[in-house]
Amino acid sequence: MEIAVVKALAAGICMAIGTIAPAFGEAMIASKGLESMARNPQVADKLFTSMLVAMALVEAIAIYALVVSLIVLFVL
Amino acid sequence: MSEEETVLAENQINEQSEVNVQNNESQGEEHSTIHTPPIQPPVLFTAGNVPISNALMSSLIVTVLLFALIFYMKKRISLVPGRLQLLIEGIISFFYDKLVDVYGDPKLAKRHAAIIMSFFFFIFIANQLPLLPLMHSLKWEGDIHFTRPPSSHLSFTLALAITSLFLAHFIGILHHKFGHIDKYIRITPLLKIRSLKDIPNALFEVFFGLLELVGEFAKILSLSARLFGNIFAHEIIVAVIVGISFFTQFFAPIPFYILGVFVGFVQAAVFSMLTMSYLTTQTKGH
Repeated sequence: MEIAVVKALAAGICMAIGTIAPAFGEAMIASKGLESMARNPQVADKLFTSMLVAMALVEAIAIYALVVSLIVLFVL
Repeated sequence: MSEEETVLAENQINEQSEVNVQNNESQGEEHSTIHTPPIQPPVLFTAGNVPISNALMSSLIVTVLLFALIFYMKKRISLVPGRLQLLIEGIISFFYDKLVDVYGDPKLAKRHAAIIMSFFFFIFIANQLPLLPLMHSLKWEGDIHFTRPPSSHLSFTLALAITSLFLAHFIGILHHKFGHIDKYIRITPLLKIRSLKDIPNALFEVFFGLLELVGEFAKILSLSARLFGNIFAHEIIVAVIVGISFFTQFFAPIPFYILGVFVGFVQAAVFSMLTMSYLTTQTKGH
């Protein structure tokens, strides 16, 4: 295989595998957050901001995968 | 096999390789229509020994814009707020109320709110810089973009993250004196050893302290990589959508720009809220 093909494959596989777990995590945060917002609408604003922060924290893992694949594509 | 045949075969191979080279070149030309921004920003010019890259240039522009906003607001501030004043007051009170809730001390909350607000406004304006007119189409010396969102340069986000963590630890040392350093390099459990039974527990505590120390560096990495990754990914998405074909240059990127506005706002909010949580955990007792 040529090196460009290997790079493209590596970046694609890195993103594909690396985003599975964060996707499940974010789905869990969103479903739980919406559930508790529906149950107690008075604290919906507070819950929404902390939900966003938690989502960003989980998304960091996917971003790590993205950074690694970017490095594979452009730097290596 | 005669000599002629081998010569012919060699010629064929040469021809094939030439064809391959031509194919590669033509492929390269096709791919080059997608101009993804490079990870390392190009240098515009050097001032003395300092190379001024376009990311640095645009962060200077952001600073100028911030100062213009500050002076404008300072002149126009009034008891009956206008639209801009209402927006800014809303953002400020959002962070300030949270800090007052945590500290219960308006003076301390005011001091820390200033730090966090400057993080928020700086990152927010930096993320929205390409939305300003002319910013995306100004070119320098032919081919180099004059500006790019500074957050799509890892040095910018790394500098912000290091500043935030350094401030958090500085404040921690101010509040707890030696107790703050003892959180990471544990000495007190070693001093408390009275019998042989205590030694494993004390060693565990020392080990956990070292883990916390590593965790602090991981915070710097995650804080900077999150901001950089989000903004840089947005830049690449827009570049790819624009570069796919001639027809996708006009209306296709608009939804992605809207997504970029949202992402820029959320990332600025997340950065400042995480900074807030670092600051508050260092000031509270442990």
